[in-house]
Parts: sequence; C-alpha cells; structure tokens
Amino acid sequence: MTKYTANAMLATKISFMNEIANICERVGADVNQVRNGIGSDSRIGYSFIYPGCGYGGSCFPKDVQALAKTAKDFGYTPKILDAVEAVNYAQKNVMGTKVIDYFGEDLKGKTFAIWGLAFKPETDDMREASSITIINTLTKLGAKIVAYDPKAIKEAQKHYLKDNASVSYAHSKYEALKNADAVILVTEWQEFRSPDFDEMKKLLKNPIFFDGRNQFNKERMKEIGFEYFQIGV
Amino acid sequence: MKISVIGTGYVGLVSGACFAQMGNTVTCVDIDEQKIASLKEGHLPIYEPGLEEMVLHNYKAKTLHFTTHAKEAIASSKICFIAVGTPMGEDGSADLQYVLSVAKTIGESMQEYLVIVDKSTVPVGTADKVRQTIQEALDARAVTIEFDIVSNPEFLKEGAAIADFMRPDRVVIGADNQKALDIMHDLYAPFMKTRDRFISMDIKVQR
Repeated sequence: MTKYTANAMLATKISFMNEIANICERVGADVNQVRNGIGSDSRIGYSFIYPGCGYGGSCFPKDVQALAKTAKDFGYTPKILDAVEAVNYAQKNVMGTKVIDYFGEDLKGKTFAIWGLAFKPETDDMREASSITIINTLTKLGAKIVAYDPKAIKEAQKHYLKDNASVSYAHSKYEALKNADAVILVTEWQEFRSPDFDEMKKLLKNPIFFDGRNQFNKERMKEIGFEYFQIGV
Repeated sequence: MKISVIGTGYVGLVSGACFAQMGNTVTCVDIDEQKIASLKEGHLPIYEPGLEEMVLHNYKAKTLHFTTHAKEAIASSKICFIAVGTPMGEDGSADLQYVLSVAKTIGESMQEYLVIVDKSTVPVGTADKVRQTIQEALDARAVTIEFDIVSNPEFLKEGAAIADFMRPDRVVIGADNQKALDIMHDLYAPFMKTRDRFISMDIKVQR
C-alpha cells in the first residue's frame, strides 16, 4: 500500500499541474510563472510540479490503475485516482494537437523531428512514453518522423515503433532536424537544453519549436527567431 | 550475507548489483536463458547510469553471479528477493502470476530458514498469497521449514537508480515478526550510515 500510495501521489502532482497548465493556456496565464510562484511555498515545494506532455514509464500508469482496481475490489470507487489517469491520457495528446492546430489535419508531405523517445532522461525505457502517442498521432495523418534519442532508439526500433514505417532515426539531434517542418521536444535530455539555435534554424525548414517539456524562455525564443510552443502558455 | 534475487529486470538487477557492491554475495536468477547468457558476457538489458560498471566489477569479483538455476540459488541463500514483473492485467489489476510462480519455486527449493522478500510492486494481501503458495509447496514435499515473508517495496527512480539504492530516502519493511525485521535491518544498515531511515510496518492489518 505504501509503494502504491507513493507513486499515486507523485502521479497526482504531475496530473494536477498539467490540469493547471491546460487552464492557464485557456485563460492567458503562463504556467511556468505559476509554478515558480507556488513552489516557493514550503508546504507545496518545487518537486514534481513541472508541467509537460504527460508521464509514462513502467510505474505510474500501472500503479495508479492497480491501486484504483484494488480500491474497487474492496468496495470503494476512487475519484482522484481515475482522474489522475484520465488527465495524463489526454495530456499525451496535447503536443500532437498543437502541431495539428498549426499545420492542419493533413500532414502528408510534412516531416517532424522528434527530440527524445524515452519516457524520461537518463534511461532507454520507452514504456508508456508520450513520444509513442505523439508520433503515432502525427504519422496517422500522413506525417514523416525523424527521431533522435541518446539511448532509446534501439528500444523504439525493436519494440515500440517497429510497426510504424513512417519513422526513421537520426544519429544526432542536429541530423534529425534536416529539412524538418518543425521540431518537437518530448524528453528533456540534458543535451537538448542548450542547443545551438542558429544551427537549428539553418537545418529546419521553418524555425518552429514545439516544446513538450517547457525547457526554454518564450521571450528569448522569440528574440532568437523561433515560433515557440510549450505546455500551459 | 548470501542473497538470491529472482528476476533480472530493473529492480532485480539494480538491487542485486548494489547488494553485491555492499559486500554481500548475490546470485541473480532469471528463467530467460538468453538474458542470463548475455549478462554473463557483460551485456545489460537496460541502460542505467553506472549500472554496467557495477555489474561488471562485481561479476569479475565473483560477488555477483548469474544463473537460470533458481533451485540452487535459493537453497544456498539466507534472503531471497522476488523481483519479477507485475504487469497490468486486463482489468487494471496487478498480474501476480510471475510472483506466485516464483513463490512455488521457492517452496520447492528451500532447505533451511529463509526470509522471502517481496520487492515487486504488489497489492495489499500479496504477502499472504505468497506465504500460502510456499507452504503448499513445502507440504507437497512433506517437509517442515520455517520461513518469513517480508514486503520491501523499491522506490528507485529509473535514471538515478544506483544513487537512490545506495543512499535511499527510506527503506520500508513490512513484516510480522522481529527475526525477519532484524535480518532486513542488518542487510540495509550499511546503506543508511549517516541516519537510520528504516521504516517498519505491518504487512496487513488483520480484521
């Protein structure tokens, strides 16, 4: 029970913040500033309140659902746990929706660079990764994907994206950008945090950056010359 | 201490390597022959910073062994960790078939007092099922051997698993008797040198 509660609590923090991000986006607030503002409260704290394109991995999705199931088996219908999962499920689609809003429903002839496949940095684990949802959504509409991840490409080829013929893989983050219509950052590996933006602009067909992990400052990105989309802004 | 770890996934491999690193003799067991063969050649099934070096070091030092022979590994250990997967069943519940199949093997293999540790993430009540499964296997052999079941969930984060395991925020142990608790405390004490972060609790409150 302790282990399940720990994971459910962490997943709840993420889904809660993603819900706030979705509200921010609609009312014209910036979730990054909200996060900064609330984290300073010692009762809340900064950990696990980072908005993004959804949690994945082998633990959170499975454990939240298993705890909900146990509760139901013992005659209690969980409300929060089911919502945590529902918010996360929808959150994995947010980046794909932003891309579709920009480029339209027909993505034939479009190529997108994906930065990051693993469900989080420093692992090659792709179980329940948001990258899978985003990539499959875009390729279903005719897009081609060129993906780069420091560690998870083998996993993608072997398992998670092996049946998706519209995906190819690059050897470096810059190679993935060549002639792409936009770049979509899905996993916040350190090597994606200080990219050479000039080089990026040269390689990309258009300087359009969809950031599923809110890694950069929106004003700065505008100055550099990117059309920059993030979560909850 | 002599330890066997059943299952060489994320949790099993990291636990096994870290226990070995701390001076224990560990045997990691998996039924997947190919996985064991490639581990012996130094190929890890997962990427985790620092893990490969730790596994290679301890494998060469013969403090970490890999085998598909669960029986021998269990028979010669004092603590046996169950670290197999608990995938999601169709209805969202945790699928316990791998955990219980290991429990059966343990009952068929153990020779003397053994602490059996549930490290897999399992729902409340699983310790009872594991105990029952082991007891049935012992009964089938017509032997009487004492054993204890302990719950010890793993809180490691992928990507920082080694650091989390070597310096845990806390070690949670669910047990129903002091003997097993003492053995677990001995095992984990070296990981909590600066401050004891050992939290013991009930396995399940009987109603």
